[in-house]
Amino acid sequence: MTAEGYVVRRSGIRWLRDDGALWRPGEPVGFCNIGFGRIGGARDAPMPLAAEALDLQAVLAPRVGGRLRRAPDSSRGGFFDLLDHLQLWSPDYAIGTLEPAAGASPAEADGQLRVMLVAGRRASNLSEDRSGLLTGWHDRMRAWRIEGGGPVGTLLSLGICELAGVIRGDRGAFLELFDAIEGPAQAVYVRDAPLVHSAPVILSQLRRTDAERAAIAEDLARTFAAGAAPPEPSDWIHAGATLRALQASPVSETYEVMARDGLRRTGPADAVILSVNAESSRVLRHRRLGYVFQSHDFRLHNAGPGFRAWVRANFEPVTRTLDDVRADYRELVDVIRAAQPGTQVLICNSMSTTGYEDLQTYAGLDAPLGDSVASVRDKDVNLMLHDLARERDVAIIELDAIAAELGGQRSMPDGVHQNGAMQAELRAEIVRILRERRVPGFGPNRFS
Amino acid sequence: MLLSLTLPRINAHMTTAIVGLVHAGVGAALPIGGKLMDLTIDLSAAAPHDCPPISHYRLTLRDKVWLRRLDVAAGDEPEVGASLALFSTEPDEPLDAAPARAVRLAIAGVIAQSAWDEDLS
Repeated sequence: MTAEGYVVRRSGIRWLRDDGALWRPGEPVGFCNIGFGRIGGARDAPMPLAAEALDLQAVLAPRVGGRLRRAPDSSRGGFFDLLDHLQLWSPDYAIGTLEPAAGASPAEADGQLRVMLVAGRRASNLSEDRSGLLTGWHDRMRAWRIEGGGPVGTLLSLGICELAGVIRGDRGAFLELFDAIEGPAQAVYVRDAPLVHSAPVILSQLRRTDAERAAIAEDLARTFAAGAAPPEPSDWIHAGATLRALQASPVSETYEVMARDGLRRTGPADAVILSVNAESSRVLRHRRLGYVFQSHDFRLHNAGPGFRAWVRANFEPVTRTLDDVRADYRELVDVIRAAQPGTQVLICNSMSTTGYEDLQTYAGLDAPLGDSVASVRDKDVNLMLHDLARERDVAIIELDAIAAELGGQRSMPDGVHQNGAMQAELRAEIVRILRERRVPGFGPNRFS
Repeated sequence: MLLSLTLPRINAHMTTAIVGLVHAGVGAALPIGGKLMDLTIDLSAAAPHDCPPISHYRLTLRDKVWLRRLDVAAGDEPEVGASLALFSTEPDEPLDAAPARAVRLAIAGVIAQSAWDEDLS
């Protein structure tokens, strides 16, 4: 990998499995931290990937399967495997030797590793955690693999926790997703904390002006400590993370990526994934500035007394009907596509049945049933998505059908958090939709 | 005939439920489909969880009965199998006999109707 005007540096290799283990083609074997050193130029010129430079890592995978023996100097432990300033990235360096598996053609190996990069944008400079692959508190995480030319397709996930494992996989580093696709592609994941990315929240972010961002910051600074409960240390952290999220707009962000042939810029996202479960029947609106705020109830419940008092004093509830949700979705899709025509929008629907329910009569339930019975509401929501799909050509990720096929109690017993098998099915369905809709870079992986 | 009601195991992982609104009073005649009580099951009470799996249910009746005794009130947290109530099929039937069977129930997952600032107090 190269970056014009810089040397690329790296840490030692941290291996993902034991020396001599068998690897399948394309399976990541290890990773190292990556950094840059300026060659000449102004000392204060911005560095590549500056916002993520402290948590930028390269994940390495051989192109053929076999038994890998580590090079003795590949890992020297301690800080040598954590910090990037002790070695230069050299395309000729051999991390080990590979005994190809029976039937594998060494020619396929080409002596080259596949390189996927992962990067996390720290929520704070204090949130350092180099203990593993993409570890730490990040407000945005992403991964990309770019080998050769062609447009880089970018998938942005703004869903709630049900999509975390689907997009980021078991190690949280996007390995399973990139195992399924060839690239050049990028996947970006923005957490649902502190903000839940419902349609009105994303719309607010997209439309917010610099003056409005400044007003939100000024208001927070003025009102936060003046509330009924004095903020505790954790309240300040919560407030800082909230302000940062309110001032961001993930859908309009662009990205610097590094490939074998240098740095390039890509984005905004070609495809955005949302969760219909993010569309609460109630959001909060700032009483004075009018901006929309939505957080999971449990996050508010578990926040410190100062943050809770600030929310209570400064926000008011806004009730949303299903028609409001549909209108917000329509508007969001229009705004996204006005700025970036052709953006694909995928929405994960809701599990609408539960084995814990034993409904023989609706007599004891309040009308309209969609406001009182969870499974009826979920069916109404899913039907609304079909209307939206016809109106705005959005793709529905059929979580409901997949859960039913795999068995709801076995795969998603609480209706939201899935097991690994269901996450794999959802991931495959998302990739299928991206291919069907011709989002670049999401074709089948040649080496897996 | 007396009919018992104990806390059913609605969710395989639950150990208790929190009683919410109780819709009927002792002595009330309850039709088929009559509302009895709402329950909240919070699995995070047993295993702390960032995204707590909390669900809400309503118990309604599939027998025409009289509510003769309530063993729980709003806010109580009975264990699975604990007695919640006793019913009879006649209004003034003596309560000293053993229940002939469990009352027939329907269980619906319901949407909690909480105040917007309930989590902020």
